[in-house]
Amino acid sequence: MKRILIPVDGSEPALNAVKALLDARRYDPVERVDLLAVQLPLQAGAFGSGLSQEEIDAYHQEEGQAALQAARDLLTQSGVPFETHILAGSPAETIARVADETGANEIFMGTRGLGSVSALFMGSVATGVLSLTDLPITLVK
Amino acid sequence: MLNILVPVDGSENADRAVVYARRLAQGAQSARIHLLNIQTPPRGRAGVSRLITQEMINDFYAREGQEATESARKLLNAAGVDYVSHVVFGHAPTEIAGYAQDHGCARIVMGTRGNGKLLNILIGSIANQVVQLAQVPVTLVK
Repeated sequence: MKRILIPVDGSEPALNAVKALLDARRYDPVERVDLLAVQLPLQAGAFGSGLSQEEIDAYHQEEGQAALQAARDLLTQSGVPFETHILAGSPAETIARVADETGANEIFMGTRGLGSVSALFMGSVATGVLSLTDLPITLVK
Repeated sequence: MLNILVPVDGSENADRAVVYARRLAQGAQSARIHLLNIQTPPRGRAGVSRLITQEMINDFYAREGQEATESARKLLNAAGVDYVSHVVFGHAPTEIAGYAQDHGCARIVMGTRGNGKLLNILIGSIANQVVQLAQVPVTLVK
């Protein structure tokens, strides 16, 4: 039984990664899923108005919860045990670190997330994660 | 039936992809692994010598392809997993994606080589294009 990390950002490929994992349970049982929403960190003082760290943290939480919602719903329906994580940081590095910390055996992820426009290349996040971890990575469109 | 495509080139990373796919196959009620080796023989003027024909060149690459699938076949023979093995000529990413579609493969599992910065360049070649062209999940195994 495996533990799987799935980074999600609310994009369709990320949700498809969750679906692909659930589909594969027929032949590849899953023990637990960790959903991770990585937020690009806002700097204190962003927008010139001097947001407090508390306000920034609240913003990251709110955005993270929104990014997690659809994946959370799917996993809840499926009955697969899961935990959610919201962290601010560099996406590829944060994904690789959380994979390590949660004891993930594998990573399932969308080929590209929101805001990635390249039609020719694997998302830079996926490429980055691949260079930072030795775990198998399943990429889903 | 679960059909899993595993492109192989005889490398250790490809063998690790075979082991991963083997585990998936063993978990399914019925499954078949499709080993695929792609050779890209030089064409046209490469056979310009009257002593070396295109046929001889193709034969050579077909043998190379057979050899490249050998370690993968051993891994599957040992486990008694149902598999087929093919050598095809062409552009690797196109052949891989096309084969997966034609044979109803629900998964593609492939090895990735390299480490560090070089990885980006290598990923940029075959695996990257497979991910773009394939309609099914692609698992990259180091």
